[in-house]
Amino acid sequence: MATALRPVRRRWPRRYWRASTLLTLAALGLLSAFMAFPFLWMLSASLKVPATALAVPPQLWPSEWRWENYRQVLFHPTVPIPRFFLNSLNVAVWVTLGQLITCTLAAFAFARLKFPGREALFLVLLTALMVPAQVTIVPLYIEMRFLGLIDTHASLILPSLTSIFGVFLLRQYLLTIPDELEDAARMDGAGPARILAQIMLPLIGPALTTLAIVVFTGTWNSFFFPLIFLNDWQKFTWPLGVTMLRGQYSQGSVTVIMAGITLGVLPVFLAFLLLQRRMIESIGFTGGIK
Amino acid sequence: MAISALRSGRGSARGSLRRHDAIAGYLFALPTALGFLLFVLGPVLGGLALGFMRYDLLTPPRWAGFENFGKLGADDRVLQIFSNTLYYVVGMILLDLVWAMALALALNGAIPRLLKALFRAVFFFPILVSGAVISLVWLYLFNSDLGIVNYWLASVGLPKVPWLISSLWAKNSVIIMTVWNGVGFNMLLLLAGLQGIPGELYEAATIDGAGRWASFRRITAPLLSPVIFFILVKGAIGVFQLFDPPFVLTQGGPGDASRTMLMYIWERGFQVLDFGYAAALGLVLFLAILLVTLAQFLTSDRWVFYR
Repeated sequence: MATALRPVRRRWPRRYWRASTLLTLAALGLLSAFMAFPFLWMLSASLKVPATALAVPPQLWPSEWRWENYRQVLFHPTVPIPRFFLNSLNVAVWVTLGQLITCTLAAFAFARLKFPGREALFLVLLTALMVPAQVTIVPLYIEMRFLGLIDTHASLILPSLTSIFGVFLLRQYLLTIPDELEDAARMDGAGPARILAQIMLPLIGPALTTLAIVVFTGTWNSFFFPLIFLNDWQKFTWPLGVTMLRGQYSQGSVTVIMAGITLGVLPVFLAFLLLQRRMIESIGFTGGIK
Repeated sequence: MAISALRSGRGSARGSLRRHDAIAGYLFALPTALGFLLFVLGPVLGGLALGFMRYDLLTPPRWAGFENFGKLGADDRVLQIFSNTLYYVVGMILLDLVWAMALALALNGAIPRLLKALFRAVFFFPILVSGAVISLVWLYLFNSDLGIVNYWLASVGLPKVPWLISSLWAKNSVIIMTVWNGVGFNMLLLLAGLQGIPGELYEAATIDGAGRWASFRRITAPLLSPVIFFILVKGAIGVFQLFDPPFVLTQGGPGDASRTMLMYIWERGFQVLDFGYAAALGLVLFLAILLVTLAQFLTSDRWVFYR
């Protein structure tokens, strides 16, 4: 090929003006327009007058900005959206806190403490990663009923207070910490609890953040378990509750539904703006949340 | 004497330390082990037993032998739903691979760093939004009469597509929405894979007269094959458990045309209260996942290339 012997250009700005780069940029522009479109449509519909939301031909830019939709959804007579947020927050915070604690403890035990049966126990626990949670749903429901926890947030929190995935993630991280740090503390007579608190914890901050992000977003978005465990809509979490805006006979107004969804997507979007790199790394690194 | 005393002293100190460590180890692992017993192992064993029982929550469970599995074999809906699953597995993974690869290849081009970060963020963001919730938006986009997708198709002279209404397109709609929702993850994996391929390989290939397609086929594809293998395995496991998007988009319809295994388990268990049958379906689903994963691993050495 003729291009083979062309000297490599070192000057950055120039090479951006190559035809292939411009082509790439055009492709990226098109692709991102497609990826972002559902969100743009949602935002625009949330600000429209109901009559124009589904008008043909569609108008993407609202002719009249109706913030009223947001007031309507926040003070909806039958669907308490703010309450759903609090419910979701309640579940997600407890689950995240629980996993940060239990997974750190177990990961520390499996990575840095020696006790008989350690490897065997860890292997047994790892099999949990192969059992899809959805396969255990029926017996889990019966168990929760037996415990009297159906229709409580505890039914969503309890089974998720620890996760083998979290233990595995943190253990991998703890294994990389050099022994010398620990040995020095041991010389000074530090026990396991102090070593964990004073030596290990400050060093595994990034792994803990990763776990927190993955667990929090996963719990926040969870739909299946709340659908099964909750009956009383006052206890619904946000993803479950927001679908109620459609109404039993799909009579809900599209503009109000979109305002409700936008209200829930917005905090995620803001968190993403602030923690973008962190979130992409966490979720990209750990295997996704879906 | 003194030395040995010192030694034994140290030894016992070390011994007590060791005991200390062991006690702490068990204590620290206890919450996780308890969680595993109560919420993983317990339900798995319970499900295994329940599959052989008749149970409707109201009357005590009764032993039913293989009744549930016999029912399962005679259930035409199971056949339909399994064929849906097969369609989903193939369609979703193919679309996901092509889509993610297109995004990753485009992002891997020589473009300014800031733009790269921006595009990457746009491609990634949908992952953070619940599939059930964002399906509500797609419900309107896919509307046959008033939806914007059909409006655009019509405006370029194409026929309207019965997105959520026809048996075939209901499945396709679920596939498109689900892949859109999650494609950012595989894009990241592929992008990381692409960035790990040394540039000299391409330079050498170009000198040898290889074109773009040849470079892609002979260098990019084999070196990415471990990532692609991971995507296939994880993708199949995910598709087998698909629930939220079809639940909101199509409710499994028309008929059972877009229903998934998990939706059927949900219906039999929590709507009809036939918990024994639902548990039996769950066991079959688990078995299917295991078999597919095993098959993927067994065939992997034919095409997965590890450096």
